[in-house]
Amino acid sequence: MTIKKKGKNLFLGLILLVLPTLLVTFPLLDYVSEHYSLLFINASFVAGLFGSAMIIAFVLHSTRLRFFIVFGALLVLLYWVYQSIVFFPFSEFDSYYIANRFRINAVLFAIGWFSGFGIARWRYFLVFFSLIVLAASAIALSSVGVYDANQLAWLIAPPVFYMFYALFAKELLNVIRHQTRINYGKVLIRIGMFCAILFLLFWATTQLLQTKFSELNEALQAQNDGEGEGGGDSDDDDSMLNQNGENRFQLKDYTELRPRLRQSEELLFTAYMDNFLENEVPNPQYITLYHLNQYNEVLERFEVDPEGPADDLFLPDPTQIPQYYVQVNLDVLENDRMEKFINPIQSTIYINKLDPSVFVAPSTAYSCQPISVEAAFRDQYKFAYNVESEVSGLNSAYFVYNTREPSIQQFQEERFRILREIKDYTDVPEDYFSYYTKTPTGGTFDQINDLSAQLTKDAKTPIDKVLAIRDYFLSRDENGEARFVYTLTPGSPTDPNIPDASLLHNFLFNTQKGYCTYFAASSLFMLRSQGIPTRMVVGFMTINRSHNNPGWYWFYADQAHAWTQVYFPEYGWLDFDMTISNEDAAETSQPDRTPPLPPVEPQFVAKGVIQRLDTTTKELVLDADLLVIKKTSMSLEEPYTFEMDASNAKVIAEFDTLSFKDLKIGDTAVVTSFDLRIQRMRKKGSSESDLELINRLPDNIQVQEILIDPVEEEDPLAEEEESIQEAVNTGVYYTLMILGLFVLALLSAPFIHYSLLKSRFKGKKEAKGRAIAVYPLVQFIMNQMGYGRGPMTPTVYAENTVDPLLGTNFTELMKVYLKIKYSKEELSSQDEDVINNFYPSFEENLKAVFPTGTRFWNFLKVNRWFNYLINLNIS
Amino acid sequence: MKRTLVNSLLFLVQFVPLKRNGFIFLVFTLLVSLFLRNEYYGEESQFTPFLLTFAWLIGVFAGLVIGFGLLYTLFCWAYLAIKSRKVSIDLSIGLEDGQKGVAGLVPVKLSLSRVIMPIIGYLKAWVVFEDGSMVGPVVIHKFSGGWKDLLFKEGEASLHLTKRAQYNVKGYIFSFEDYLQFFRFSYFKKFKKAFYLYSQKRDVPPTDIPPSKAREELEKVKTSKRVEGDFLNYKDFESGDDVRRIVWKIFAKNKELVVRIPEIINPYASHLHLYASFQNSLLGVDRKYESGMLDYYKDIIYNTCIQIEKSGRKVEFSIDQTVDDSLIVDKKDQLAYFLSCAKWKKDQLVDQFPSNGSVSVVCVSSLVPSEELEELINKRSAILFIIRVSNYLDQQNLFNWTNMILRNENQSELGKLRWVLSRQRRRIKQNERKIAELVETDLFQGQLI
Repeated sequence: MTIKKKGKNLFLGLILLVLPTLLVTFPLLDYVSEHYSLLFINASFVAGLFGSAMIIAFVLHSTRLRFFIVFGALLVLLYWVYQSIVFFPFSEFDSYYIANRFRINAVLFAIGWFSGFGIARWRYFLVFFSLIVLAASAIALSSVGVYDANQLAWLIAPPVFYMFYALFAKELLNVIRHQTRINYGKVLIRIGMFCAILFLLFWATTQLLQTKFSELNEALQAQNDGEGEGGGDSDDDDSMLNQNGENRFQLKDYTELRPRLRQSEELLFTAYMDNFLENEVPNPQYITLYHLNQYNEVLERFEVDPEGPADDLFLPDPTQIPQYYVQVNLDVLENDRMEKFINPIQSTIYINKLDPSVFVAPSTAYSCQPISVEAAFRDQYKFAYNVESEVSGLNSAYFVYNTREPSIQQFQEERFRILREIKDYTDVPEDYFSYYTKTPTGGTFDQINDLSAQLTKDAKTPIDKVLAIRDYFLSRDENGEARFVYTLTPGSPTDPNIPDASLLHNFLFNTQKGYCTYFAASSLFMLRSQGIPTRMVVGFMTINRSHNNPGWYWFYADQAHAWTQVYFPEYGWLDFDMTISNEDAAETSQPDRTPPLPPVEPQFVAKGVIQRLDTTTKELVLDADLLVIKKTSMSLEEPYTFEMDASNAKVIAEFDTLSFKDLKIGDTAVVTSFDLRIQRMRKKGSSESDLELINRLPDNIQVQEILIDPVEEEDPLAEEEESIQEAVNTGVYYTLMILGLFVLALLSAPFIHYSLLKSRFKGKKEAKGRAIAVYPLVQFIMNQMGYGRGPMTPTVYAENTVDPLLGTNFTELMKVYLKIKYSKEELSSQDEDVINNFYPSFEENLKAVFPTGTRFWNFLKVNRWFNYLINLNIS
Repeated sequence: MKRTLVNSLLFLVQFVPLKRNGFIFLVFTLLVSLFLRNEYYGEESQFTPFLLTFAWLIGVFAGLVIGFGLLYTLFCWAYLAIKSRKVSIDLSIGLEDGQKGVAGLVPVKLSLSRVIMPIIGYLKAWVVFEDGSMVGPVVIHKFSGGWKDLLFKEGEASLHLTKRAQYNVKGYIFSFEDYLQFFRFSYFKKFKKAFYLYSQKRDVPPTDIPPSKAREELEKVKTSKRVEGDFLNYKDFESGDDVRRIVWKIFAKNKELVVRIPEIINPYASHLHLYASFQNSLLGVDRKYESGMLDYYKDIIYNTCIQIEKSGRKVEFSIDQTVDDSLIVDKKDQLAYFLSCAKWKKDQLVDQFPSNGSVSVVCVSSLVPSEELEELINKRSAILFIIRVSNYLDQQNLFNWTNMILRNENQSELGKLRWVLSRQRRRIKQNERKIAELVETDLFQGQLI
C-alpha cells in the first residue's frame, strides 16, 4: 500500500471512526467529571485528554508500532509522575486534590489510548466498546431526571446509532483497505445512506412503540413519584408518608416488612425539647409522625386507618400557617386519654432536609407556631416552628435496656412500679379496647398467639407481659448467642412454598433477623394477642449524643423508626420500643452540631394584603386580618389598615431574599416588627379589647421583615421537562444549523476553489506566470464539467479531450507550458500570444458548449471536486 | 489429510449464515444484558423502568435494522440462486496471456451479470481450487456503466497466491453479506480455469560454471551476421544488460533495442543442461516449512537459470518428475512452468540422477542427506549446486531490536520462533553443516548457495 493511500485510509479512520466515538463518549465523560466535581475536574479538559489519547494511539498504532511496548512505557511514566506528586511536599489537601485529579486523568488517558489502539487494530473491538458505551449511557440517563419515554428514546438514540454505525464503518473501511482503487466519494455516500436508514428505522421504532411508551410512561412516572415516592395510595394521610420531595429518605419504608431496607444519612431536622429529668438530665422524647392502626396482611404493611377511633394526633401543615401565628387543636388532648403524670413541654423544630410540610413533634402535640430562622442559619435550616406538647411523665426515649445512667435506670424501675398498678383493662371502653387488640387469625398469627402465651404465662400484669416479651427479644440461646439480630437485610423466606411463609413468620420463627418494623410488628401482635391495647407508630428515635448542648437533638435519616405504643388507662399511650441493637444507634458516628440561635421574638406580626406601595420612601399599607401583638394572637373579622415603614425591612419569599421593588399590590404578606415603641407598650389588662390594643399601636410601624407567599410553584417536573425539552430543541437546532453550514460549505467549496484559481491567474501579469496559472484553472473547470484528466498526460489530455470538445488551442498552450517548465529558453512573441489569447477564447467556447445552468449544476457536484483533490497530480 | 479436512471445513464455513461479526455481537450483547439485569434490574431498583424502556426501544430497533439487512440480503441471494444459469461470470486474472504470472499478489478482476446487490451490503467472491483451498475475497463493488441493478458488476482485488505452482480453479463462492456483516448467504458456481505462477526475481550469488562440451553434434550455434565485424550474436535488450552493447544502428533503423553478445571462444559451450532434483529425504519436516522451502528452492533455481542465461548461456532445464501437460506452454516458459509443477519427492535416490554426461549442473537442496550427496560428489558426473533451504527462514533475525518495537507485516513472529525452536531446524542445520564440510573437499565441483 502506498504511503498516500495509507494516509488517506488513516484520515478516513479518524473522521469516520474516532471522531464519532469521541462525540458519543463526551456525555459519559461529562457524567464522570460531575461525579468527581469535588476534585474540580472539568468536563472539557477530560474530554480533550481522552480524545487526544485516542487520536494519538489510533495514528501510532495504525503503523507497525507495537502496542505493549508503547503502552507499557506510558503506564510506567504515568505511575512515576503520580508517585512524584504523592511524595511532593504540597499541603495535605493540595496533595490529595492534585494526586487524585492526576490519577483520574491518567486513568482516562490510558483508557483513551487503549481505545484508540483497539479501534486501529482489532476488528471486533468496536462491538464490545459500543455496547459498553450504550450500557453506560443507559445507566447515566436513568439519573438525568427525564421520565418521558419518548424523550428518553431520543436521548439514547446517539449511542444506539453509534453501536450500529461503528460496526458498519469499521467493516466498510476493512473492505476498502484491500481494494486496489478506492472511490472515496462512494464510501461517503454509503455512510450517508446507512445513517439515513438508521434514522428512518429509529423513527419507525418510536412510532411503533407509542402504545408501549404510554405504559412505560406510567411506570416512569411512578418511579418519579416514588423518588418522592408515590405509593399509589390515594389516602391523604398515607400520601404524607410519601412526602419528601427530592430526598432519598422515605418514611414509608418503615411501615412495611421488606427483605431489605435502605437507609441514608441526611440530616433531616434538629429539635430543642425543653424536657429534663431531675438534676438536669435531658429526657428526650420520640418524635411521632403517624399512628398506623391498620394491617394489610397480604402486603405485610401497616397503614393509617382514616376511620379509627378519635385520634390523638395533631397534623397541621406548618407551611400553611402564617408566620408567628399559632394553630391549635385541643381535641387531641382529650383523645390521648392521658390523665396522670402529664408533662407539658415546649419544643422548637428546625427543618433541614425534611419536607417542611411534614409536622414533627413529641406526642401529644397540640399547637404549632412557625417562626423565622436566624440569617446565619438559613443555609442550613429552611423552616422552623415552635410546638407545644403534652407528654407523659412516664414516657422516655431511652430504650428499655440500653441505658447505663443510674438515674435513668431508676426512672425505668419507678415507671414499671407505677404501671404495675394497672391489672387489667376492664375500665376501657369496649370499642376502643377491641380496636386496639384486634389481630388477624390463622397461620402465623395463631403461632404468634401461642408464642406470646408461652412467654407471658407467668406475667400477672400488663406491664409484666410487656417486659416478658421485651426479654424474649433480648434473650440468648443455649450457646450464649443473641437470639435476635438487628439487620437491614433480613431477606425473603427461602421457601415460599411453605404455608404462611410471610416475612413476619420468617422473622419470628426462622431467621430472627430484622429491623425495627419487624420487632414492632411482632411485639404488636404478641401484645394484642394477650389483650393489651397496642399500636404501631412511625417517627424518629431521639438520641442524646453529647452533653455539649443539653436539650438539643439532631435527627438524621437513619433515625427513622417504627415502634409500639402500649396503652395504660389514665397514663395514656406510652412508648415501648422492642427493637434491639440500639447500642449501635446510640453510638452513631453522626456528629453533634452547632444549634441554631433562636430568633428574637417579634413584637408585632401581621398578615394581610398589600394595598399600597411607595418605592421611593419604602412605605407600604397593609390590610391585615391576622395579628400577633406581643405574643397575643388575634384574628380580625374586618381587616385593619396599617401604614408601615419598610425602609429597613428585608423582603423574603420562602427562602429567597428579594428587594422592595419585588413587592406588588395585592400580594399577601406577613410583616414582622421589632419596633421599640411596641416593645415599650404595656397591656392594660384583660379588659382591653383587641381593637383597643390595635388602636394604641404607633403610627407608621417600623417593620424588619416582609414575608410574601412563595410564587405558585410550577410543577418542577414540568419545569425540568421543559428545560430538558428546551435543551433538546436547542441541541437539535444547533446540530441542524451546523449540518446546514457544513453542507453549504461543502457545496460552496468548488466555487471557492474556482475563485481562488481564477484570482491567481488574473493576478499574474507576466506571460510565464499566466501560463502556469491557467493550466490548473482549465483543468479544474474541465474536471467539474465531467472531463477530468485522469491518467492521461497533459498533452494527450489537451489533444484528445479539451480541444476537440471546446475547439480551443489548449494543445498549443500545453507546449508553451512544457517549454516554460522544462526548458531555459525565453518565450517567443508567438508563445506570448498563445498565452494571452488562450483564456478568453476558452471561456467563450466553454459558455457555448456548457450553458450557465449546466455549468452551475456541474459546479455543485461535490464528488467531482473530491475526485479532483484526491487525484491532484499537478507537480 | 489434515489440510484437506481444514480446506473442507473452510469451504463449509462459507455457507454458515451467521458470520463471526454477528456471533460476537450476539455474545457481547447477551453478556452486557445479563450484567445490567443482575446489577441494576430489580423490583426495588430505581433503574428498572428506564432499563425496560431502553430494552424495548433498542430491542425493536435492533430487530428492524438487522432484520431489514437480513431480508434484503436473503432476497439478493435467492435471486442469484434462481437465476444462476443466466448469470455469466468473467474472471480475468492479471497474468501474462491469462495463463501465467509472478507469484505473490495476483491482480484479479471479476465481473458478473444479473445480480442484485445487497443495499449498502457486500457481494464477495471466493475462488475455490481443485485441491479445496480458497482465496479471496474479491469484493464486487463496481458498477460499470451506471447505477442500475442488473448491469455487470465488477470487483478487483489482489489475491495472495504465493506458491510457485499450478492452480486449477474449480469454481466460485458468491457470498451476499448485509451491511453489518452479520449474515452471509453463499452460492457456489462451478467454473474451470487453470494457470500457473512462477518465482519473483531476486538476487542470487553469481554462478561460476566452467565451459563444457555441450551438444556439439546435435546443434550448431546459429549465427546471424547482421553487421560487419566480429560481433556475431544479437538478442533483445533486457534490463540488466550492458547498455554499451546496444546496437544503435539497428535502433535507428528499426526502432528495436538489441544487444550484441560478445563472441565466445568455444561456440559450442553456450548451452548447458540443468537438472533440478526435488528430493526431500529428511523425513518429518513440518508441512508448513516444506511448502515455504519448496518455493524458496524454486526461486533460487529460477533466478540462477535466469542469471546463467543472461551471461550468454542457453539453459536446458529438466526436473526429476513428470510435468503436467494440461497447459501448453512455449519453450521460453518451460523453466517457469516446470518449476511450477515440481513438488518435493521422497522416493528418489541420487543413483537415479542422469549420469550419462548429458547434465551439466545438478541442483539439489540441503534436504538431501549428506551421505547421498557425498556419493554424488564422488561420482563427479556434473557440477553440483546445493541450495541451503534453511535460509528461507533463517534470513530474519529473531532478536533484532527493531522487531521489539515494530511489527513485521510479512512473517509471523510466532512462526519464526517456532522454527528456531523446532527439531526439524536442528536436523536440517546439522545436515547442512555436513554438506558444508563436503563442499570444502577437493572432490567437490560446484557451489553451495
